[in-house]
Amino acid sequence: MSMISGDKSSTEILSLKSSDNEIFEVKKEVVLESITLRGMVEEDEFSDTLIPLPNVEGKILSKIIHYCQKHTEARAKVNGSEGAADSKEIKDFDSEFINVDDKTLLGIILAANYLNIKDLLDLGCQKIADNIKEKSVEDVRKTFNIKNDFTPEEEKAIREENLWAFD
Amino acid sequence: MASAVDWSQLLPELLELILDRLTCLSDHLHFVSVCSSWRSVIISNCCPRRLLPFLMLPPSNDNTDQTRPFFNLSSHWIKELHVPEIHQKWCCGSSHGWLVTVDESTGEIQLFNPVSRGRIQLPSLSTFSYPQHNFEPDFTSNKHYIHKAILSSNPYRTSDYVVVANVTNRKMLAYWKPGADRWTTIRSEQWVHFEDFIYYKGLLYAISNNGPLVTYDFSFEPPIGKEIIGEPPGGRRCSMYYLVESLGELWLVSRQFKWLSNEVDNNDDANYYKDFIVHPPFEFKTMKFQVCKLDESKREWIQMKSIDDRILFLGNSYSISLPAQEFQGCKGNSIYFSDDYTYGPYEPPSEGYHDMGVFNFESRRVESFIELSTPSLTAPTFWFTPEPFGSATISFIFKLFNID
Repeated sequence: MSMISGDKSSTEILSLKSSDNEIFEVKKEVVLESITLRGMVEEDEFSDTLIPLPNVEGKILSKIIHYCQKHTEARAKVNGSEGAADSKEIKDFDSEFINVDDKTLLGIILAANYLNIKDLLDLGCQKIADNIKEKSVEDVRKTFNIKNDFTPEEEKAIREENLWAFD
Repeated sequence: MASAVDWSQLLPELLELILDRLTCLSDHLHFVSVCSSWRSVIISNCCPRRLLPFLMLPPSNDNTDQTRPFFNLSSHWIKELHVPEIHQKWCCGSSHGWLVTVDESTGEIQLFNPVSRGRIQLPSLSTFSYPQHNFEPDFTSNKHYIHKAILSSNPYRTSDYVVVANVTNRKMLAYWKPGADRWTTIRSEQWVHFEDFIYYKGLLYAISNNGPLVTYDFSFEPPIGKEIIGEPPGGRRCSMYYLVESLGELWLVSRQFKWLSNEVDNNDDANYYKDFIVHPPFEFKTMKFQVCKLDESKREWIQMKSIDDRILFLGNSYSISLPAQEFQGCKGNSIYFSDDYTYGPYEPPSEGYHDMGVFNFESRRVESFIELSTPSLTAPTFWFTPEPFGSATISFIFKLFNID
C-alpha cells in the first residue's frame, strides 16, 4: 500500500518501511517533521532507497504520517509561521487524532519519541497526563492497568511522607 | 479504560515528560506512588536538601496576572508565582510553608499553601471574642487587626495544630484550633504587648515588649500561662524583639533602630555607630542586633557574642535558624531581616516596609541583599520556605520556583 499526498508536484517523495513491511510513500517535507528522519535524509544515505523503521508498525506509522501531513499543510497555509499550531482547525484535529485506544496511544508516543516529532510527543504526553489528573492512585492504576509492586512497608512510607495528598 | 498495554514500562524520559505536565502537586505525588518504575523518575532527580527561605514581595500595583513575586536569595532571581487564591488579600503570617491571609473586603481569614494550592478556611475577623472588631468592608483597620500569625505545626502533618496571632495595638494573643467556629483571645491583665511568639518544646513562648517571657500550654482549655523570666536582658532597651529556636535552644533577638532624629535606642556602641545616618524619607533604619539565649534552669538570658555558623531569618514570619555551611554563598553569623514594624492602623508612610537587610555579627554592619526597583512597598515582605519537602516533592518545588 502506498500513500501519496495529493499534490504531485516537483517535491521529492521518500519511502518509509514499517516493521511489518508496509511501505509508505511520503513527501519529503512531511518526512522532515521528524528530526530523526531529517538527520538521516540530510546525510543523503537514503535518497533513492527505502528508509526502514523497524521500531514502528504500519498501523502506527500510517497515523503518524497523517499527523505530519496535516501539520505541514496547516503551516504552509500561514506561510510557515508559528501561528499554524494554534489555529482552531489544528486544535480540533489534534484532539480528534489523539482520541484513540491505549495500545495506539502508547504506540504513537513511543514512535513520536523515536522519530523525535516534538509536537506529537507533547500531544501524546498531555493526553496521558489528562488521564491521570485528579485521579486517586488506585484509579490511575486501574486506568493504566498497572500492578502495585511496592511492598506494604514501602507503600506505607510513601503515603506517610505526604499523608494529606492521599485519601 | 483497562487495557492489555504495559504502561509501567514507559521509558524514563517519557515518564518525565508526562510528570512535567502534572502541574498540581497532588497529581504529581499520585503519579510517583503508582508503581516502582514510575517512582524511579524522582530517584533520578536531586536529593532532598534544605532550601533558603524565599522573600515574598507584595504584588505590583497594576498586578492583573494575580501573581506574587518570590525572591530567591541564592540566585537573586524573582519568580512570579500565579496565586489567584490570595489575589488582593493581605498577608499577616508565613509559617511552616503556609501563608495566613486576610481579605479586607470580607473579613475572611485563610491559610494558603502556595506549593500545593491547599486552603484552610479560618473563622473571620468578626469572630474575635475580644476586643470586638467592628468589621466594615475595606476599613484600613481590617488589615492591621492581626499583626502576626503563626502555626504550631504544619496542618499537612497533623490535625492537632493551633494558629496563634497577636491582635490590636495591645498585641494580645488570640488563637484558633481546628473545629472551633471562632477565635479566642487570651485575656490577661499582667501580660500584654506580645511582640513575638514561637513554639519551643511543645509550648508557646511569647515575649512581651514590657519584658516578661511567658509560656502558654495549649493542651489545656483555656491555655495555661506561666511567666518564665520577668525582665529582658539589661532592661527594655531595644526597638523590637524576636524569639527563635536554634540548635535546640531558645534565643531572644533584639533589633535596634536608629531614628531620623539621630536618637538611638540605647547608648552602647554610640561612637561606633555615629556614622550610621538615617536619611529622609526614611524615618528609621535597623542598625544592629543582639542575641541572648535562654538558660532554662537558671531562668536567665545569657548574652551571646556570636551566633557562629547560624543564619537567622526574622520578620513577621515564623522565625527560623539555618546552618550557613549548607548554603552556597551564605555567610554565617548573620541575620536576614524584613520590615515588620507596626505601621498600622494608619497607612504606612510612603517609605513603608523598606527596612530590610542582612546584619553580620563580625562586621557589625547591615548590608542589603536585594535591589528593589522601588524602595517603598505597599505591604510587608515575608520569608517563605516550602514545606513538606520530601524526595517526592522536591522536583516539583524546584520546577515551580525555577531552582537549578
